[in-house]
Amino acid sequence: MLGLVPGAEYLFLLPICAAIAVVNAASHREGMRSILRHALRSSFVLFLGIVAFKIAISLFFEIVLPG
Amino acid sequence: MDHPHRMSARERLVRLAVGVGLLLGGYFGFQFSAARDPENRFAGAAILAVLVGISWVGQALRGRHDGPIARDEAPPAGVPVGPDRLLVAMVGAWVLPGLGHWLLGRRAKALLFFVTITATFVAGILLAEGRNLDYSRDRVYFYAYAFNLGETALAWLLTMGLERTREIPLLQVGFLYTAVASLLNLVAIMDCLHTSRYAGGTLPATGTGGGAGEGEAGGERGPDAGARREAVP
Repeated sequence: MLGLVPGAEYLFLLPICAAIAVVNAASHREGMRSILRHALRSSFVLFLGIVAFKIAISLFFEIVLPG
Repeated sequence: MDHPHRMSARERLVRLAVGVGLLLGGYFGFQFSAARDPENRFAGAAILAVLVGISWVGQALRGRHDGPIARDEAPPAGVPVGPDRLLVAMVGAWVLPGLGHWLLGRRAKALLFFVTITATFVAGILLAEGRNLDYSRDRVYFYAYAFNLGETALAWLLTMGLERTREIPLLQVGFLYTAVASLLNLVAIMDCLHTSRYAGGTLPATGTGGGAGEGEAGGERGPDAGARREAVP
């Protein structure tokens, strides 16, 4: 079921995106609530960005390399 | 907080719509390139469209123009820190994630750095079953691990007897987690450097002679130092 969702194989990146987002938010924000709120949002943005980038790259190589 | 680079709601909507449009354009560009473009002339444009689309969607979701590294909120005003105290804090941050912030009185932030970085680091070692700390075989990863000195040394000592005798399915994921955690400690070290000039906490005497700069002395004696330390997250 999970395999039907595009990008599901990259779910292992979600925790690491969360860690990056927390450290990034902690390094430019103050206050625990502000940090965690910002990290929650930016971790999903980062994850979706990485997945979209990886899909774009794989599509590129599927098209360019065979040609 | 009114941020100078904050977008209006209308601009966010436009950016989001254009970003999604670029993503869709990139996707259909790939499809078109695969079906009718044998020389793949559209593939590069499709990649560019996807990348710009991601950027614009991200900016619309964040609601700002600037990059993600910009500091949004200044740390609480405190007392400048002397060079010896700063050096001790930075070496502490290098040895253990969050220790530098702890020494500068930023206790909550120190715990946040420690928990986040250590959890990621330990998760990487567990995923790799403790076999991702072999210096002779995976030397390149140690360039990243070097930024998290204490935990790497401890983990290396604890796992040095383990050998890679079979296939480990999540070995590469373990490498990724551990290396990224160590590199994140570099961010923590740099943040320690950046916030040190604002820190108002106390630090035990370092014994390096002449260490008590004016900032440190002020930090110890200031009438509101205790209240300021409590207010610092």
